[in-house]
Amino acid sequence: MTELNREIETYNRLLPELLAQQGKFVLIKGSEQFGTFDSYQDALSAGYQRFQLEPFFVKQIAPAERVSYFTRDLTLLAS
Amino acid sequence: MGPLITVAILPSSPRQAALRAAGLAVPAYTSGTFLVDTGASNTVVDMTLISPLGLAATGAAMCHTPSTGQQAMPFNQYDVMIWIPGASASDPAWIIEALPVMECDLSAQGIKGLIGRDVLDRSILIYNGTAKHFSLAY
Repeated sequence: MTELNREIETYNRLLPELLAQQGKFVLIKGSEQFGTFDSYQDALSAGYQRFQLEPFFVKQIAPAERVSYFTRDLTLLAS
Repeated sequence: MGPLITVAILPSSPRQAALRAAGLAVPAYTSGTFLVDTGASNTVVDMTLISPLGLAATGAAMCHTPSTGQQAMPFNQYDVMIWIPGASASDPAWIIEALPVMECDLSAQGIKGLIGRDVLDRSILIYNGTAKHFSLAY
């Protein structure tokens, strides 16, 4: 699975209100969101400025979870 | 095997800035041969290139591969900078300063990563099978 389960839960909880900003990137740490941003890089920059090297979570806001498909068999690592 | 290119990986530019601000050194880049794979939604990188960079996950994505069966599975994403050298020394490199990638084990496949459609969507890929060459323009 993933080490960001708490942040994923936060994203899912906040999703109904975040949908007004669909396509933007939300910055989340723990149970709180810390803004939405026009680009992935902007959200990362805000995250590193605010939290330095502590873990945080960035996700593009979408009404349904996007699935990444791979036709080649991979051993993806859950870490 | 298909269209292969050399790719270098570093921490994303925002993470590099955070490392410098913390007085830490930016890890040296890692590099390897990547397969240009239109069958991959996203770019993935072998663990041997990710691990030396000391990254922490900053995202997660649901993934479906031939071995995940009916269900997609969640996997961590890491923010990296990718650097693709130009065709010759005089051609500028293609640098993407922040890209979310997934870590995988490609040790049995003879490559160190896949360039997926998240990158290809920013470029023009021409695969000329009869001439046995391809071009990737950005």
